[in-house]
Amino acid sequence: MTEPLLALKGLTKHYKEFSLQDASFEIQPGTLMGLIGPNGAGKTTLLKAILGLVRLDGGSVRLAGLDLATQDAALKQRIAYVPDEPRFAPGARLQTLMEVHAPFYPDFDARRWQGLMEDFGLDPRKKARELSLGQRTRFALTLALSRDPDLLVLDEPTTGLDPVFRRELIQRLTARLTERNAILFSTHITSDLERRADHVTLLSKGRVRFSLTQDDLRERWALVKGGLDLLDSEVRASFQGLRETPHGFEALVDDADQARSRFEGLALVERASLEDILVLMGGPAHA
Amino acid sequence: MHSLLLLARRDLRLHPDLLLVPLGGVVLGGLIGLRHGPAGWAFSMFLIALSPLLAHAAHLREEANGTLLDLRSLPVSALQIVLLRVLQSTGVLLLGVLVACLMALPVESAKNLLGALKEVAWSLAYMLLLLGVAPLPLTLRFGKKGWIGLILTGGALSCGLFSLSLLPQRAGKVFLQVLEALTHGAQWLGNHAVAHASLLAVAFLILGALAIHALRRRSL
Repeated sequence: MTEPLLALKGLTKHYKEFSLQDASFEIQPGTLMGLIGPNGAGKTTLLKAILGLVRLDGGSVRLAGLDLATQDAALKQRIAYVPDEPRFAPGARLQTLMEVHAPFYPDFDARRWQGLMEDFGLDPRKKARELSLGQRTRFALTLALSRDPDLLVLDEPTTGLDPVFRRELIQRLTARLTERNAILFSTHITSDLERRADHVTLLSKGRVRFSLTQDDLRERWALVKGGLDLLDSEVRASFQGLRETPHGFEALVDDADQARSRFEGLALVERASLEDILVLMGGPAHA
Repeated sequence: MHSLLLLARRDLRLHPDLLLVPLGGVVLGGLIGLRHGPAGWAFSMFLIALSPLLAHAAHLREEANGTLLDLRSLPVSALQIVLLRVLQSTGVLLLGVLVACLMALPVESAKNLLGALKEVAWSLAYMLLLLGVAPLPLTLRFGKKGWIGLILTGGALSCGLFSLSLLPQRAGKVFLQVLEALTHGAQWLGNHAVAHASLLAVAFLILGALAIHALRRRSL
């Protein structure tokens, strides 16, 4: 296995009503990783922690050998970040915002930025206060995509965007992947990641529930649908997630072959989509 | 150093009014001073003395605009952000002095101006320390909430002191003696610090270190 591009170890952050607990995973170069989880699962906290925007109570962040604790400026130089709700100085024109942002990054390509502004339907003469949330996100994306960072961190970038643009964005992102960079993409719109993400990490209630390749998920995870009479304590314990209705149950298992042999003729065992996994494992969000 | 200059350029382009308004006030005071005498110059000096607060205004505006995240995600260290704020305080104070001196040139000789500058130099350094650097840890750690807390605490202390001075004769006398002793202590500290410039430098360094620590502790 190659050296991970990004390695998170034991990230912990305690708030009054929520804690990110011992979050660990790695991202290999050339990977698009989807970070999924219900609202309030801790996705934004985790992504901010990667850039040192959250004071951690424990854990470490390493990007291409750089340690966040000691080399934060150098580490941020190699990351492009799009927050979930990008905000800009309201009175500044987009052209000005680009001009004050670009010099911090030697890899910023102003010509590419102009192309992206046209593609994304943005006028550089507009002021930030005139933009909607979707337009602000698009503008933040132009700044991020005008560079060639090692890691592109996108926090719910598709929220507020129309489906056509969302699809186009995902295509652009996957086209940018090379052997030396990676993308970390958080979302609760799982259809954005289905078939596109190489790797999926599920965060729920501040904990990493799993971090697996899509292939592993497809092969090993399955959705079981059956009648309530099948549910005894042993069966319940074998499920990763369970939802009961008056008519039956839906459950998630992490060993599809075993489930097929166990429930043959008794229940329906089918491939689990990311949405199934999110619904059944995500659990209710914290307040 | 390069990143620090880029940060300063970013702030100048995004918040030019924070520099232009105090300097405009100094110019206005100078114009009034040229026409009507000392009151205008006093106004200019007042603005110059308060100008180190500009750095805090810049940071609080970033907070109000929701752009602190943008600032903090730039590839700069906490030290560079603290240096930016100190540089802003110092820069606007020196620019204010320069503008006031240029405006006073028609009525005062350069020699007299230099003499006057020499006299107020220490006071300006203290204003920079007290208004520019000392509150930085508060601004960087707690932002607007910190300043609201500071203002409320200041108000409560003033009211408390006023109330204590109205105490019945004996208790009021003791209180006034304590207050006098505190004032003498502050005066002694001030005089001692003037005599030992290194103390001022140490205070700058300690407060700077506290500001860096405060910024690192702030979660966005």
